[in-house]
Amino acid sequence: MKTFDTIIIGGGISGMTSALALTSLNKKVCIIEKEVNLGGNINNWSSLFPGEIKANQLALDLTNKILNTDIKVITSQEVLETAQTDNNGFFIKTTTGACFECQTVIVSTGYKLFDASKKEELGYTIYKPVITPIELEQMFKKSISYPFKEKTQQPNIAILHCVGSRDVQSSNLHCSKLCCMLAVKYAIKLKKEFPEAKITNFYIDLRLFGIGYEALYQEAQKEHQVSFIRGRISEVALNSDETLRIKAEDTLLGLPLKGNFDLLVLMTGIEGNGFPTTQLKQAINDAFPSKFLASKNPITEDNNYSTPGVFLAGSCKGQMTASEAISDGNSAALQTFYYLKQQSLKPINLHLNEA
Amino acid sequence: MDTELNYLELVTKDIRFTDCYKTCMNCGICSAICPAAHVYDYKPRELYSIIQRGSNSEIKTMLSSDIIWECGQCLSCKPRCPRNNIPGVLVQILRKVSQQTGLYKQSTKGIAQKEIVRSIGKNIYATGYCISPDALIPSDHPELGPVWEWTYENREDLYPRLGSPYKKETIGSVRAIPSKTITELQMIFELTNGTDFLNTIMEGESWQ
Amino acid sequence: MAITKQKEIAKDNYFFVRSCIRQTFFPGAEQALINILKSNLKLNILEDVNHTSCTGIGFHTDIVPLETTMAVIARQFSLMNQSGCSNLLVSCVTSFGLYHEIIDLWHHHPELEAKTREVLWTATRREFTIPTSIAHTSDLLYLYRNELALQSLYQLVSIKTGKPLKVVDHIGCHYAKIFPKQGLGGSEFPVVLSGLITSMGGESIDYPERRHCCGFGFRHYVLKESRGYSMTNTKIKLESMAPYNPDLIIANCPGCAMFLDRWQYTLSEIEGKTYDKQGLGIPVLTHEELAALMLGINPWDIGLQMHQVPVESLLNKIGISYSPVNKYKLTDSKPTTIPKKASILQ
Repeated sequence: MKTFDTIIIGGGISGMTSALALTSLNKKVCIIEKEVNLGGNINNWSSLFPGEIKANQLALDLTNKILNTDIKVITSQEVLETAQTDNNGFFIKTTTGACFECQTVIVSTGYKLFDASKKEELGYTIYKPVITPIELEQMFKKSISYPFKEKTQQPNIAILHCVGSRDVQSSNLHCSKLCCMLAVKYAIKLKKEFPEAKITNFYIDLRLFGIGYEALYQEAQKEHQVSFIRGRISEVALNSDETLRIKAEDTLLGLPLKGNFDLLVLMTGIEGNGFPTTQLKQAINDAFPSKFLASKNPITEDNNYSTPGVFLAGSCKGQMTASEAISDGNSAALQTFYYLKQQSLKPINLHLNEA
Repeated sequence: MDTELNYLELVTKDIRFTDCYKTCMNCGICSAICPAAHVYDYKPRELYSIIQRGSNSEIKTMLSSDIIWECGQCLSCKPRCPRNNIPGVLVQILRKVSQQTGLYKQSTKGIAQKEIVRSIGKNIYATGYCISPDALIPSDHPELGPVWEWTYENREDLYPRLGSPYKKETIGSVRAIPSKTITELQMIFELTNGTDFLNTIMEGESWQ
Repeated sequence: MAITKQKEIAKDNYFFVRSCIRQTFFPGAEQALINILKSNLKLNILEDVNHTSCTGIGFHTDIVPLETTMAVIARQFSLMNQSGCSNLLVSCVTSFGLYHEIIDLWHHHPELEAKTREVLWTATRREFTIPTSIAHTSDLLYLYRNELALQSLYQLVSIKTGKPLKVVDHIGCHYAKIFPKQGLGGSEFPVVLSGLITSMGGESIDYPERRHCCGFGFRHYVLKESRGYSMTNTKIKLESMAPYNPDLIIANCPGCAMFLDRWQYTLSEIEGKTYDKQGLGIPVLTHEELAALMLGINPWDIGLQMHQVPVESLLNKIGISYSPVNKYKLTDSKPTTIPKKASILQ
């Protein structure tokens, strides 16, 4: 049985960052990742804000660093079972039946996007011109084409904020924090791609909290003539000419509106992935099953899970920007390192003590 | 001295209130889909805003105005609201309180409730049906077209021709509901204060 | 939201309750349905001459209080219990929604149910238990759509071209919007009519305003001064259907079916045009009328002569023979009178 100081469940940017930090502190680390490649959600994005860093470049850079260390990387496997050992460590068994032992576990399982097809009234997977960031990122990368007629040089594009967030119908009451910023970013990017397009963002509240985000909003309005309508789209249908028929209310003017659009981007929110196994699961954050993991104390012990020796890193706890996820990976690594140090200073419980 | 009724309390203590009134974020998803919002100066979320502000005089004004009578009771709002509000049910509560307290008489649409009692109310009480062929006089309903006019004129032959026991106390469509049952129905109205409510709307004017 | 689990529909042993609007405007449809369920499908359908309206229209026009409606509905359940059935078969869509609303209310507020029992006992000496299941008549036809298709003499196919007819559907709002789980397919894309249409050989067409209310609006139609609301909403639907050139409209709510039919007439008188290319109007059928027609029942026995939009264009497309002479015939002894002609809709 292979033994490690730390096993990291989830090889996204948080998990990779934790791994690199711990290995630089001479700890023996293993990453277990369910996909074929490391990188996690970052692999699906085209660029990151601020700075327009290419997302897959970041994933590649981190992966290359890892490959140059002794970190054990196991991909295409998921953690099936965990159990505690006699000396306060953990057994971990994966889906292929491989078994490992470790002193500490870092959970960095990240997030998943809300499945917009559940909101049938918005037409995702029903009407072609309705897309989510998953498809839009692929369109930006030029791996798939835009779902409206190529002749359309002046596409009418709508972007809907809060899809699967702040919505009891989706069972997600939380705000997904990043979608407003991303939506504004998309509006600008789409306008640059289609200079004669008319872009309209449908929002309820604009939550643009970080450095540079408010400026992005003003840039969208001033340089790119993006319209911002305060109103949540209620229903999407398909016209006979294959444009979308959208119903919303402009709540600031107090007028219901119906509009025809060539493309609708649904800003799908973020959900957690839950705890990887049932054995060590503790209570989760929200009253509703948004599946984010709760740390022991959100201010003072935000990387500690309630089970000693188990740590949390990254957006498995809640919505995070890429930079926050990387910071959190480092922070979790440090907490893990302190714990390992404390454990190594404890006397070993030998029967010889009786003498 | 005029002691003002606590209209807010009358609304909030209706047993359906907590089912249909959660908090409203004024996102407009209800107005977007509401057929009444597209043709009237009405938005379902305004009802919530007024109650959220909690002013008794504002609520009294609302109960006295047309806006609580615009809703067409389609309930299209219910599956869409992200906070699980049900404007269509809140409207039922508001209309109830408006009629109970007499405020319905202050609005043109409200006072028209009397016409509904004279037609639908009367029909339920007398026949056990909300609507019957006899009640749909063609001159009152030109929009139903010349075929309805022909139907109405020939109803005594047409309905039986289509298999109806037409006004006989036998199983089938447009049957006469036995008087024993009508008595039970009227007793239910009495005991549930349904008859009182109809009398209140009609202000004592005969309607049965 | 999408529903994750389709509701279950009981296969047999139903207690049937009628619809005020359906029996007024489509008397033959209710009769045809009973015949189909009993003779074609061999189902056990019971009825009690003593059942009444559920008061739905009175409830939604806010003249009948909640307590009264609850007790009337409890009385309907009591009649159902007496018949020995525990499955309720509902003809009207407003009723269907209302029965579910009341049961849901009782579930969340048991004191209301207790009070209703007390009232029903005092008023009528009746007791009741809640139905095991409640189905709308369109649910039952959906359940048996393949059996009905096998027994059908006709199909929703053009005999001239061999192509499926284009059919648009309209689902009554109270069927699935109040409790999406109680609608087959949920509130956004109910399948209860499109499934029936497809099994009958037709092509079910999506159109932008498919989920839009027909505009009945309860009080808005009852009161003369606001009937325009009703007409406007139906016009929105008809305008949305028109580009697809449908051959037929199917509706499962009797009010909706009536409005989709009648407002085509009224609009044609006002606007001088129809929403189809031929100037004949788009025929409207209820789900029972559709099933009866496909099974070969005479159109004038079903009651299609009561429609304002003539159905002959549809009958011709399908190849159903009919007797123009007998359309308005009432009895053998009386001379046949016919309705006055509309200006546009012939």
